This record gives sequence, C-alpha cells and structure tokens, in this order.
Amino acid sequence: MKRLWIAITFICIAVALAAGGYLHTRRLCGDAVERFSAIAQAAEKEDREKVEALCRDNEELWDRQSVLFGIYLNHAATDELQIYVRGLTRLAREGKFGELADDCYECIYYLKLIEEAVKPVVKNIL
Amino acid sequence: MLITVIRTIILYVFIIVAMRILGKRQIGELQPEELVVTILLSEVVAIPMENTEIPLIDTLIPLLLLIGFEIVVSFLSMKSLRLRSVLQGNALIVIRNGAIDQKQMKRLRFTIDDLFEDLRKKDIFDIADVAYAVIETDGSLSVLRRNEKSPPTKQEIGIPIPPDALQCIVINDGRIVQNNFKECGMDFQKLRQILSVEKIEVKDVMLMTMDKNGKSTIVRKEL
Repeated sequence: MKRLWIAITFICIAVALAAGGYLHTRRLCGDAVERFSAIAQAAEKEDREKVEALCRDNEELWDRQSVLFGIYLNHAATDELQIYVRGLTRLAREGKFGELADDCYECIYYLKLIEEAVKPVVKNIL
Repeated sequence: MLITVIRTIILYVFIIVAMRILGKRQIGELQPEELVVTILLSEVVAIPMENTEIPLIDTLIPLLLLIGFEIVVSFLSMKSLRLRSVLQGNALIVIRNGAIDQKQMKRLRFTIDDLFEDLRKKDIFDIADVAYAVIETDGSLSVLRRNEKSPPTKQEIGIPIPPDALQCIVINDGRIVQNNFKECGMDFQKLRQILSVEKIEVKDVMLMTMDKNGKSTIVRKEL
C-alpha cells in the first residue's frame, strides 16, 4: 500500500511539473515578447536612451529567466535567444536601430514558435 | 564534459531509486509489461545522458510517470484477475500426460526445439516422463514429472526427517551480520561462546553460518 502511495505521488509530481512547466514557459514567453516588442518600437522611433535602458533591463531579466527557461526548454533554443539578447545591447550602443528592431522581431517570432510548440494540442502531440 | 558527468550522476541516482521502487524481480522473471517499462526506463535515461541539450526535466517526468503507472497497474492487477489476465496473459499447458498440445504450441509460436531445450534444462530427456508442462506468463517452462518417474521423497521411503532450518550468514568477511540473528536463533553471547570454543576472533572469520538447529559452519580467513 505504501508503494502505491509513492506511485500516486510520483504521478502527481510528474503531472504538476509538466503543467507547471507549460504555464511557466507560456508566462515567460509572453513577458519576453512584451519586452522585445517595447524595444522594437523604441528602436523604430530611434529613441536611443530608451532603447539602451530597455536593452539593459531586458538583458538583466533574461539572465534571471534563462535559468527557468533552461529547465523546461531545449537548451539549443535558449542558447540562440541568449545570443540575440546579448547582441541587442551591443546594437543599441552602436545605434544600429534598424538591425536591432529586426533582431527583436526575430526573437518575438522565435518565442511565439516556442509558445506554440509547448501547447498540448493534437499537432504537437502527434 | 563536466555537465555530462553531473547529469550522469543525477540520472544514475534516479534510475537506481526507480529500480528499487519497482521491486526485486529478476530480468528473467519480468512480466511483459514490466519488461516494456524496464526497456523504456533505460531508453528514457540514456538519451539525455549523452545529449546535454535536452532538459533533465524531460527525463524526470516520463521516469516518474513510468514508475507510477507500473506500480499502479501492478497493484490493480493484484486486485483484478481480468486485468492481470489482459496484461500478463495466462499460463498454458503444452504437455499433458506425455502428449504435446499442438494447438497451444501453435498459439504460443513455441517450436518443438524450444520445448525440448527447456525440458533438457530441467533434466528431462524423454517427453513421456512429463505429466504436465506449463508455459508460464514470463515465458519459462514449469514441469510436473509423472509420479512413477519422480524420485522418491524421504517421507515416502520413511527416512527420519530433521526439522527444516535455514542457514543464515552470521559473520561475513570479518563483520557480524546482526540482521540475521533472529532468523537463526543467534545472540551475541552464543556467538562469543562458539568463537571461543573454536579459538578464533570475529575479524579472522571469512564466513560463519548458523541454523536454528544449532549447526554452525566456520570458514577461517586464509590471508
């Protein structure tokens, strides 16, 4: 009987981890998309000060969140985003706003793809 | 590379814990669904061990689910005969009174060579000696010899039978195995007495066994 309870606990932990991971990934992706959108909009307006501040904040937040991303997502995906995030700060310093906005949209596209890929829908399950 | 080492240690611990929780069955005694789970577990753990891009949680979740399902299913199988029959199948008789049941053999896709190989492993070389042969759910063959071909028991011959007694290890490589004391009616005082009679210390004993009838065997260390 003790073993049965262990089994039920294991199943509950697994389901909780999976559900928690899904919700967490969606929230993190949503937050990141918002940040990248804000940077892209500021870059399109060529507001240097705001772009630089947003990129700095974004990098700081990303460093904290990438640990959680790494727990649930394929590390190749998070590494690719990491490269973009680091690149944005550099582009902001150099004033290459066009390129910066393009990279932001690239990240948004990538994050939306991740968000889609973790959804428990038939096309992803099969 | 260091990541691979750390991940391997983590996964090794997980799989050992998993196998301990799953129970003590030997590989040859695995039921079909247990065999599937064992293979799946090894596969689930092996891939992230070599591919560090896969998050560990992707291994942990299936691992927990497989262990959980396996225990729940085996528990339900214990409660339900029908479920047990569906999951594990039924034992089937393939020899009756020396005659092969060809229909069952065909159903099991069991060849005459397989049957004779298993019979020979049980020291049976003549099919006529077999009263019943049963293919168990784990694929092994159990045989009941014909009464006239079975060796007589002590009871049948009328030889006095000493009470059954399990030989327990009480000293293993110079270390006292206290867990077995109760099983063989041993205590420290009795142990000291036996050792002093034999003029030997615990550290010099390679193996000491004892049974409830008081019969003990001591093997001294040679080095």
